[in-house]
Amino acid sequence: MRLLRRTLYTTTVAVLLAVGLWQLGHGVAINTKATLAQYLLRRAWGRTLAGEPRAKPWPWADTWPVARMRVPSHGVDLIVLAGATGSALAFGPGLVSGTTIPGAPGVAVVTGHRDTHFRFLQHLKSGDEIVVETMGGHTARFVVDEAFVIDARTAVIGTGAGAARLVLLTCYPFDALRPGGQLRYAVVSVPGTSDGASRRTP
Amino acid sequence: MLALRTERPPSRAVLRGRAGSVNWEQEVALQQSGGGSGLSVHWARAQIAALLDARGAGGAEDTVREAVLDIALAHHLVSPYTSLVAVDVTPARPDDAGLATHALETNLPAGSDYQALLGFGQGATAAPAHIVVGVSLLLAAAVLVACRRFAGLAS
Repeated sequence: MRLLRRTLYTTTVAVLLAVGLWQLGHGVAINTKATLAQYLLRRAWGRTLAGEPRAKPWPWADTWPVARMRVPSHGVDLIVLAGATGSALAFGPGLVSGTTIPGAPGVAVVTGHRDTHFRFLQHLKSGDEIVVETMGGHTARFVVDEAFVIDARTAVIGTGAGAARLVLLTCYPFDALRPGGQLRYAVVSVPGTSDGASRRTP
Repeated sequence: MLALRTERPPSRAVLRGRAGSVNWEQEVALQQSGGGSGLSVHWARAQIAALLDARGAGGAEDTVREAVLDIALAHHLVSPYTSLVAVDVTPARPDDAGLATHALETNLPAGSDYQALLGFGQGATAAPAHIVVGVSLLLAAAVLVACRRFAGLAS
């Protein structure tokens, strides 16, 4: 009887430890991958600026850097990847295919994970400056105009031609445990600088 | 239908006759009927029909066939001995050229929107869930061990 209880106890503790470590490792690995990939991406971005088109950060990558996005007020410096596919978003925010390059006329939509690269989105406030460096060394400056929560099932972001807009998109709410929710947090930025030189073009 | 053969066509003709017990009269303006194009075909059809009838009335098959072929070929008519074959003289793609292949954008039903269909992508990873589950399990293991130690000390 005593032996049975002892065996049960040992097995339970062992299983809890094993599964717990496995889950913890899995979660930490996702975050580590997201952080480390940005270092490799920064090197690929350097090659892109040097003139190499579609510079792959690692040989088997199915995406490539298209822009560098900095938010000085929050110490954010991210390499934006081509396409908002799941495989790209694991390594960095992705420029939704079919939308324009940030700074060009039209709406550029950049999507990121709310628990890795785009965690800072919850702290962005109106007037914060976003600096986007694109291929060819062009620099576009945006200021945050407004932020709102949308329902991905019904909302539509018009991506037609018009004034330049930068829309940063991530899942909402930020502290939700499980992925796959229907709500999205959208931050809309307009061209301008944080000193308010050309705020809000109508 | 009125057929008339003359050196100088008159401006009008008046047809008179009797329909049963009633006198009947019809005036036909000849100047208005300008140059028609179907008359030869109409004549050829009637000619072919007459020739084919002659075949039934004892005409030799070979001579009828020759006569019908002459008329039908000259007027491009379908008959028991001739048929129409359409030949594309300006083919859109020459025989030795390959087919043009290119991808077509998928047409969506009216009123649909790509963005609404494809959605906004996934904006979260499963990392927080994994971490919470992992830490909870490790805590549970720690609690079990602590309880065991406490019970061991107490006894």
